[in-house]
Amino acid sequence: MSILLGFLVYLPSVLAGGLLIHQLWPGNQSARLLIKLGLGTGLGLGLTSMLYFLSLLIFNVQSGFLVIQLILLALGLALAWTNRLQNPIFPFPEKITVTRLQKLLLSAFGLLIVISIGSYFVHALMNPHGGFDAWMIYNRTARFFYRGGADWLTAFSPQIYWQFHADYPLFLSLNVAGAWNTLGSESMRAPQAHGAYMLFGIIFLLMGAVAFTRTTGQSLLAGLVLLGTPVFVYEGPREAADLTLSFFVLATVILFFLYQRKQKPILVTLAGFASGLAAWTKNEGLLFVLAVCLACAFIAFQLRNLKILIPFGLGLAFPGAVILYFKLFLAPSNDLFANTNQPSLLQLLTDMDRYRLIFSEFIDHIVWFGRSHISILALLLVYMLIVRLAPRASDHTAYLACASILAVQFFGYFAIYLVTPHDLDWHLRTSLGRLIMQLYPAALFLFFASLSDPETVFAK
Amino acid sequence: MQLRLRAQQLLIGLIMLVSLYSSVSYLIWTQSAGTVAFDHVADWESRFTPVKETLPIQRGTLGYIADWDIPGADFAPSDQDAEYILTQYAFAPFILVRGVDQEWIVGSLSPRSYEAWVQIRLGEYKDYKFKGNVYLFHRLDLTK
Repeated sequence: MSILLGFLVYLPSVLAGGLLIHQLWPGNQSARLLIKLGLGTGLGLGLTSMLYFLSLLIFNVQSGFLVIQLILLALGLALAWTNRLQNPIFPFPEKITVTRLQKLLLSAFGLLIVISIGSYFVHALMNPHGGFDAWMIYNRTARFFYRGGADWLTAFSPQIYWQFHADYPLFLSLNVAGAWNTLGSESMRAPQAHGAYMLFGIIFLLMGAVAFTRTTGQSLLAGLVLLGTPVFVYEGPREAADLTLSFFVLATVILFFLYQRKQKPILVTLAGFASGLAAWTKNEGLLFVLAVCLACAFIAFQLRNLKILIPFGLGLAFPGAVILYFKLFLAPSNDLFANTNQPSLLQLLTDMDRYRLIFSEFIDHIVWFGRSHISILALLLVYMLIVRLAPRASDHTAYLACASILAVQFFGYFAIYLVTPHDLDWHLRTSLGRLIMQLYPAALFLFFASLSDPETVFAK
Repeated sequence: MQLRLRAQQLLIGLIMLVSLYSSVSYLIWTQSAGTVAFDHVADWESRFTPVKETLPIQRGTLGYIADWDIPGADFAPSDQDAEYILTQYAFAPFILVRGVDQEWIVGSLSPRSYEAWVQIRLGEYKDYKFKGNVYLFHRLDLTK
């Protein structure tokens, strides 16, 4: 029962997100609807988290979470009803036929979904309080909010030891505290359900976008590879924020890619909003906003259309303002920049041993990413060499822009390790795998969007 | 050409098999990684429930000491670190600050460490002992 309640408590936000995006980006082809369902999960939960933060700041009342969710859902339903003739959800405009190959891939994917759900629940039942990061950061902060009541700002006290990361953005902690307020108890099923929503959001988004840009078979193959990477199923019940950040990196990359194809400014606005929510999820999201701004400028320059910076800025404005307020007026200093006892920046930057260690750890973690006995990277590289890249010439700018987002983020992580004041070995060991996971679904999207699809291969 | 086509088809099959294999391996690993019957976080938290009930305050800052604060005590740093994190998690919304500067101090000490602590701080604190090597110390002279 508590598992069901954990899922139900976030359902209004998820539905509201999907319905609102359906209004902003009309169309009801099946792949497009899958993208919107995926996007709606993260953007709906993100919007709720930010509005809940504002309601806490303004009214200092904890009970607003359900009210905000219901208002958003009512708005989504009202708009969907009003526009039902111009912008229906059902029936799909295309006739859905499934080939023999697609049936085979679909069966394998279905089996994988069943196994993954089983693993998810076993892991969730074994670890009700989630993993180390959940007790240390997200659920701990949620307890400060929920148990602290009107004194919820204690969660940002500079007295809190740096390792608890009281400066971390509040997406997850606020949603967990809000769900506890709605349920009237600290049910650990709520953060677990939040993780499950983000996991399914990633799957829907990745598969919808690959189906939209390529074929159903390619989309199923992408879904198989993602779910065949066990670290993703493992991350959900850990109740940490890496899966959520992974979602927003993927959403931003896909929205930029789709904008370049469809030239709809609303897609760039949503990309701006999604990147802002990445910064509301984890500190790494702040670096991500920088990477996305650079990519947006690149696209504007390539397309000789500086006007796209306006819708992007509009999308980023609301989450950007909330994050700025949080960082400037509430959050204590970050441990990476507050430590004054560290060696000088020049000393760290000129230490070649640090470069060697970081580089070798990056290689090791990438090659063996995913908690599998088989290197996924090696398998995908062989697959790419045999199947070959077949990107559309018209997508050239989109590939470059999206790849540059991931590259800037990747090199940003490298640079942070170079200047970290903490023991480098410890810092790499405790975080690098999760950082790679944040970029993995977006990299998978670019990979499968640029390769020949299985339908073409088997048709030969 | 025919060989290349066969290789492409084989690789698609291989991706399906590898994904299924990884997923099943993970499911098997999950079952060996713990048990549903024992929740170590809840177990750790339950040790501190009587401490919270004894405290006369509902909010504020508490001191925290463990074996790593006792000179000569044996301890594993990573265990002490994890225990501090779990204890802070259990005590939220209290802030747990390492050291003895607060009026109320939570202790998680082995019997030897406790004896050593009592020798060092004789008469300075009123001790409350609980099950599971858990202590609460109340500083008697608040002017110090």
